[in-house]
Amino acid sequence: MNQIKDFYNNLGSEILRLSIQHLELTLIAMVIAILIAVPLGIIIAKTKTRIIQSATLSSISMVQTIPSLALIAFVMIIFKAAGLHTIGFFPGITALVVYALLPIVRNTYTGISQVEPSTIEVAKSMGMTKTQILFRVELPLSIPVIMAGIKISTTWTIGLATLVSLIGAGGLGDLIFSGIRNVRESYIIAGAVPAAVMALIAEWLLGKIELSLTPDGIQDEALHSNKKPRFLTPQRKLVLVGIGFAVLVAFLTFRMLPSSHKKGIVPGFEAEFIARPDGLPGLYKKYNFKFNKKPKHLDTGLMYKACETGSIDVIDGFSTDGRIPAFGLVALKDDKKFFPPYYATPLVRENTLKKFPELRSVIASLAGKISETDMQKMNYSVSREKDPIDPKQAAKRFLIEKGLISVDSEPGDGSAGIVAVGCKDYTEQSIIGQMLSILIEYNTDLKVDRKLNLGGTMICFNALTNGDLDLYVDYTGTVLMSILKKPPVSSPEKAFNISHSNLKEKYRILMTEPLGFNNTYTLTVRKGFSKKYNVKTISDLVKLVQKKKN
Amino acid sequence: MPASQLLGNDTNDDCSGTLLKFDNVSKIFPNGFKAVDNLNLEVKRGETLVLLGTSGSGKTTTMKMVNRLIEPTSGKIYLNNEDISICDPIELRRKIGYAIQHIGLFPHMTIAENIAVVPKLLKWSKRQISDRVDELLDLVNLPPKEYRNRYPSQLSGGQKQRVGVIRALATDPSVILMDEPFGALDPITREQLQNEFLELESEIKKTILFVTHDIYEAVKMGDRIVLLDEGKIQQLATPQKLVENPASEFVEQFLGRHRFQLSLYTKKLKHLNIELQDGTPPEKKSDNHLTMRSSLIETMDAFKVNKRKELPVYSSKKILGFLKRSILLDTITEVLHTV
Repeated sequence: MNQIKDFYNNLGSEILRLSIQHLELTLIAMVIAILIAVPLGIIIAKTKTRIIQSATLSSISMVQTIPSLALIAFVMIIFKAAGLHTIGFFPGITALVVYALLPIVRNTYTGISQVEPSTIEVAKSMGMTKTQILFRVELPLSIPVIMAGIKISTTWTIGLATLVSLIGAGGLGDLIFSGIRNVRESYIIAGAVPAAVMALIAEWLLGKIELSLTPDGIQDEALHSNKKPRFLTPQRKLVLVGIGFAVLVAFLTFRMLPSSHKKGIVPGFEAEFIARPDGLPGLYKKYNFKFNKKPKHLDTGLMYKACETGSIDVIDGFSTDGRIPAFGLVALKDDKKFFPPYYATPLVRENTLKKFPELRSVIASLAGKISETDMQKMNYSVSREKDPIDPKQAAKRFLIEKGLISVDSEPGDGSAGIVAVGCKDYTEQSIIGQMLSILIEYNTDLKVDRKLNLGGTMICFNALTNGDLDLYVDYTGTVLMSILKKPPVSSPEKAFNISHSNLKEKYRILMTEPLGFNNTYTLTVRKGFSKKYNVKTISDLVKLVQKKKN
Repeated sequence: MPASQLLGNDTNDDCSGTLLKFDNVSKIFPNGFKAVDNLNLEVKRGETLVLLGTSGSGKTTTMKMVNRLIEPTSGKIYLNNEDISICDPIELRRKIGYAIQHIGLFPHMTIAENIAVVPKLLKWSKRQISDRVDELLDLVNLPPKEYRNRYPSQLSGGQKQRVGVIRALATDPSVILMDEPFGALDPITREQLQNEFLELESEIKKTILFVTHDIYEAVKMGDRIVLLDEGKIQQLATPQKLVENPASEFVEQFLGRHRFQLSLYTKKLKHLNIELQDGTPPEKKSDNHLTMRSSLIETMDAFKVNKRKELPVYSSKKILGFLKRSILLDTITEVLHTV
């Protein structure tokens, strides 16, 4: 309980820290985007070849049509091909910059090309050079349009910056995703509200900057208020703003550089692991240590790859995860027995069981049937790079092997009713979800509505309580701590009993007998890393971390 | 047509040589359109030469070749005996004043900044620039205190055009190019600005190349008129010669039914054998008093305004004699018969 309190006490400073990080991401991305987009817009406005204009504009527009998550993935692929770190600050910034380009390029192009040709002709005939025409006539007259583009793209970037949290670039997305995966609405709000406020403030501030950069002569307000010319002419202001940005970027870059080049052990964990009392905070207490570097926040899907490629040294893994053997990683022994038990257990609505009593025996038939090795094998068969099979195939193969369905049997006719089966969005859950679905289809006349790959515990459990799902499989530890917000319990039986009775009383949900395997957290490292530093247990790792600190 | 007839021999006395010279200049655009066809032309120092013609006659192209906004396909243009194709176009343009129909004031700059563009490019001192701006604004009756910090959008069309004209004068350039500078104004403002400019011009004595399609404006503004068609000179003459002795059928057609009215502008009292009588001088010399250089139309105007039967004709401050209204009307009737 204390651990939870600690975290909440920390939330205030956490919001501030992540907001600053979010601001840094946005600001650096915007400065780089402006430095690229404005000159690009000028060049395409100046070029007389129409093909170059339309080709540039449409290729930038095309980037915009890529869904933002896919763009982030695309940037990772390119970074990998270039031999760079695929996660963290730089790929994050790159994705943001690429996305921010279009409105600025398009508006700069529009702004420059809308200047009256007669104005340009006069400027030319007065003996202005091309550069003078650009800086003294075209750019000042285009400022309102260019600034409008910058405004749009800044608000976009603030939004998109929450997504780059998925590749460990930090920012308020850390809180939002932590909230989604961790059944904590307060975290989602704590992340989303500052991001929204930031967007509003940015919009307002940029409006002010726009107003002060726009020459009075093309500003209605200034024209009506017969103002004296100001000392800070738009040109002078532009220079000041430019210098300000340059100083800021230099400052921020210096801030970023040491942390990204510091030697040491780089940890990268899922949001859930970082936040859960039975995850990192508890681990720190039990083993009495702390990583020198703030752990990077990583999406589960990316974490193993990042560890394999070496951009991350330590990740949280699950004991049954097929990717541990598949990616050449090794789980460290929990020598102080810190991680609590996580036995996979089907959760079923009591109402569903009343309606379809035949389900009870079908679900019970799977109890204790899946060992950790079974699960690891199945996970591996799905996640391996060389001819993987899909989760449905893996599930069916296993059921046949165990004699739970026969090779030549047929599914029922689906006439008895519909059961909604859910699962979370990772391999093991997909396999188990499919396995339960197949088992029901082959042994009853119920039709299964598969609602697979739901985004996290909160979504699954809420769906179960409000009847959108009839059953899904969760883990005793997760039920106990994430759903019921109870302190960790190390005895598997006790954990099951507390969860079982609470779910029954509070939610009218039945927790049936566990499936057999314990999918608990492990700290996972590369095999090479383990050999090089002779790290076999978590205590070994703690020693290594402390050695590196000194 | 013999060259002597083309060029005309009635030139202004104070023209002491050629400032601008077109030597066999042609311009063929990439689409094959021949805008200017083997043009030979000399612009004398201090004169206002009007390039007159319909659209497509090559008048604007001719003008834009002077500051190299357009490069000739063949031939040479000399400014002060220097081949301009050798000059740096940027420096050349800074030496040439330019005013156009669209005015082209920079909307983001104040009036003072607009006028100061070329002086600034030439790196004049601040003091020098500010003095010059005030001087020019005074010249067109726009009080500097009130106008220098205004923006173009706060000015009327006529005021903007005045600024456009004085901007062309800012660095006291030897040549000023004007492309229908009064074209976008309403008739009343246009006439007012034309008159102001004539007055201004008589003070500053600039060499001006003035493009227009309006024959009345050409007659009013020009010391000499070049009538262009299809890129060729149809006639080069003083306004009076052009109106009274059209060199070809084309010129006659171009003048058309305007010839009588135009001759009222071009015929001045000194050109006509007008008898002046004795009379009693008025107490005060009126504003639009007559001189021997007054045109017939101005004379008629003076009679209309003063509502008298006779008016004094001055030579500077001395009265030469009195012109009777009846004699004026007879003279006009004679003119009507001759054209």
